[in-house]
Amino acid sequence: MTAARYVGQRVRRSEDPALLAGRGRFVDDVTEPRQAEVAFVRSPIASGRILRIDTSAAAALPGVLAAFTAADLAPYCPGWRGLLNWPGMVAGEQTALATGVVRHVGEPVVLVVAGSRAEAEDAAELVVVDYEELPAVLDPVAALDPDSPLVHEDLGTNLCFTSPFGSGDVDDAFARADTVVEVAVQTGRHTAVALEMRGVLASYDRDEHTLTVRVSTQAPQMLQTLYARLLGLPENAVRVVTEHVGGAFGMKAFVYPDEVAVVTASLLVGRPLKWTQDRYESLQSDTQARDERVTAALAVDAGGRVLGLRSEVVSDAGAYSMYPRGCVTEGVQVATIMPGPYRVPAYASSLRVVFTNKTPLAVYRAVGHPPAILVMELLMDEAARALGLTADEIRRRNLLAPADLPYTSPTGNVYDSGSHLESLERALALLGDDVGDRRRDAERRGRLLGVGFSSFVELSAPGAMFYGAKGAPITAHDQVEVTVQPDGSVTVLLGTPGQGQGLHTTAAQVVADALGVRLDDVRVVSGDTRVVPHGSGVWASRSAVVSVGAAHAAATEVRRRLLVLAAHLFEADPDDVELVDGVVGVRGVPASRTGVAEVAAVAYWGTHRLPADVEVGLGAVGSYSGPPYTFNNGTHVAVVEVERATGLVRVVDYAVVEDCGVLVNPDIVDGQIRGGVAQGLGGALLEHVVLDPIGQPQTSTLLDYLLPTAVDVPDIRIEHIETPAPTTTLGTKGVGEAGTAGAPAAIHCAVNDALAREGARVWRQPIRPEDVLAALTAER
Amino acid sequence: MTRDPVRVTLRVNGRPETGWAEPRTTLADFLRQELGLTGTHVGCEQGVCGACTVVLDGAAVRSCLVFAVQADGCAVETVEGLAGEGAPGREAVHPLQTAFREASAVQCGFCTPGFLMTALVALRERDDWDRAALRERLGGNLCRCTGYQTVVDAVLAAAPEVRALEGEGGRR
Ligand code: FES
Ligand code: FES
Repeated sequence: MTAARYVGQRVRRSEDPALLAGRGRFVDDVTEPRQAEVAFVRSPIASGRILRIDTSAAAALPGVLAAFTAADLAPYCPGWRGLLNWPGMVAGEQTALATGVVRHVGEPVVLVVAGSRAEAEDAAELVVVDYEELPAVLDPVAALDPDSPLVHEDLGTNLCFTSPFGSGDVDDAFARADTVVEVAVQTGRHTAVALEMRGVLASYDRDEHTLTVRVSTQAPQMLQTLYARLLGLPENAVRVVTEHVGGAFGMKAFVYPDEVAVVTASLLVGRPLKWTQDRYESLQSDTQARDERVTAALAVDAGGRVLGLRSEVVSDAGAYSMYPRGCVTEGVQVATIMPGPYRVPAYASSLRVVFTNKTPLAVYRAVGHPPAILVMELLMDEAARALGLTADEIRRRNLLAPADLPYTSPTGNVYDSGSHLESLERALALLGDDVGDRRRDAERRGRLLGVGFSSFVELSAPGAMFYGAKGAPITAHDQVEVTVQPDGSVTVLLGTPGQGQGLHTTAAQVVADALGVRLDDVRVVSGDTRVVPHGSGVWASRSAVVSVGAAHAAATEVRRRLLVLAAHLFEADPDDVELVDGVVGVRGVPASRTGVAEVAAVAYWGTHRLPADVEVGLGAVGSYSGPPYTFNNGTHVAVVEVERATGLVRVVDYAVVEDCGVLVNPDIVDGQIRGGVAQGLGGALLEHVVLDPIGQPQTSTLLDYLLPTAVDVPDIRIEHIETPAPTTTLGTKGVGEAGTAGAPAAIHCAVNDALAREGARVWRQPIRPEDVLAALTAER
Repeated sequence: MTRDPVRVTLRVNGRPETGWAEPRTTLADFLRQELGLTGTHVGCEQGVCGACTVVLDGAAVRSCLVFAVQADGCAVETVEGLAGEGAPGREAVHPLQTAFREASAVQCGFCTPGFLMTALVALRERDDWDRAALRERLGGNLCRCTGYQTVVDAVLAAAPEVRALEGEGGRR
């Protein structure tokens, strides 16, 4: 065995030089000969019937090649429903362009093709669409009223999905409780805002009957399959290319109607078609998230030990269940993750997912975890206040200890390993013991200081049961192909592309170690379905488990074959041959040492020297499908200052203790955590898709939809605990979403800690200054 | 208003460049589409995200808010010119680029060119930024991936070398 040399190291990223030089290849950076461009006419209203579409003036404009409506595309591309076989789930049909009815502002209605984007936009302005405006369904609770208008008439209901979750005798738990606390929490609708907007460049080859789609996505093979299905093409005729992706965060893991419309139109127009979204479109048509209303109650005994938990979750799905992940995952995770890292003997939750006339809600980084963790942590703090315990003490009394593991949560999640209690103690140490001084100092400056904890588990690297078994083309596996070339250099073909997190670097580290070669000799390629083996995409914090597992499997197989070949050349037993630092030799025979290149050359160009039973070539495809999921865990601690005069909240200190198992590249992991915390901070304090009473978006620019800036996000101190996952190849657990999962709760708990000194609290996110002021005023 | 394209001539990264632009064409689109300099990214076209930041006659500007015709006759610096010329296999690297890589300040890299150009101008002004002031200065550039800390680290780390390289007032 070679000792790990690169895994665990802060290796510099191989992705960086091109990106730093401005030589990235994002979709919009690539231009095809004779490329034409697309602009959309989108619905300006939340709900209505399309009475008439007139594209004649648009089509007559110079430079315009085509203007398509739903009727034009329907013969080539049928509609689809974002249905997963959750019992009782229903979903309305979605089409590339709106068919007869519009169900949210921003839904694409007409696609215009012209020589340039500017011409296409000019033409789009000339398209006339007459609507009969219908009352919009905007409140998910009112939407359940039998008299409510329906988002999808044919479904006969706005209720997409409902289900109970949990186990144990909750009634008994609450009957025995010494203290019961309740909260009603609402988290604001937000959206991913990947800095690179969505985009497509689609070309159809009329001779070969092949379709090439360059697209900013997390899941190229999924799109390959679905484009083929929708357009009636064989999968070997569809090539999806994804080079650099400028952030995705779950939002780019779907079949988007506008993208499908561009792809379909490329068949009809016979020229490469490019569509690059603008930010106005992004804020109306990218999937949204976190629109959750939760009421919950916690029953504790006199010592603050949890006896039972109840929750009711209403999830606002928006207008469509986006294919293929659908719209229920967030709500399901809010309900099922809520018990978190605590001993919760009894839990009952009920979930309702409801259609409304809003942009579709779907998965976004940490899917459901932020509201779930937020509710649980707020309950913990309320219980602590009721009992006169500190925030850390009530957590200490309930967090899972090593002796509790493996632990099965009341929703059936199994935590096989972790450091739940230890992470809290380490976070306390990071916080330090000068909180009293900091409070007094803040007071002198007219500010209330608060400290908030968030102890959590995060589900990562989910297996096939998650979506695949529910009928979606999303599996848990990944494939990676590793080839040692004749000169000893190594090519790694990743089935799954990156979305900016450094997956090429991580995979190279693992392959270099598993093979026994130098990192510089490894080159990683991804993102072209014509070249790479199959993969399920980047999602759910899975790459460090699944892609890495597959890379390791492939490299291990190639190493085995290389050693067999070398053994033959050395006339030695394969068990006596070793490969270290790219040098092969017979153990204990220094004279035998030779470079990998010499052996590899024989595998390709010197096959006459090999007996018939030694395989030629040095490539192998490795696969990984792994356990049902892993759970990472951690504790965040946030320190905030609340300005009494303005209600403004500033996060002044932040520390993270994270346990995501074995670290492949600590810098990359830290980057995931910091970026994740920043997104969680955004959700807690800033980000909100605001609609007016008739469903008109009020947040159409990044001046209105507020993202955290360098001024808002503090320096974040990070400590790692490495409890290896017992079930994954390298003991990794995945970490991409952990920062986002934990941060909203830590910050919110800190704000409430500050406000509680004045008897006040807030219960909604984002926590706006006016809400803080209102809460403080109400108490005076 | 006429839509006819007009000739625009400017110095880009020290070289004269000429192209055609409609009066409404932004400098960002001109650089990307007419000159093929796609390192300048467009993240909002609303003047908010800073991804399109270039240096125009020494000032960091949002190229989505400047019309190409307004830049006629000006000197533009973009990310592509940051490092200067190198040789194949030995590409030149600017100290800011080195510092970003060393500090892990890049994730998806979409915001990165904008940060580099903003930072370049900031470091030409002074090399003694304190962390808080530098955060304010970078506050007009959005990054959705890194959480900013490592970007701040990188700019601070690059300060002495950039100052030495650029000299007072910059080299161009
Ligand atoms: S694209 Fe210019 S500021 Fe965003
Ligand atoms: S690195 Fe992705 S937006 Fe900054």
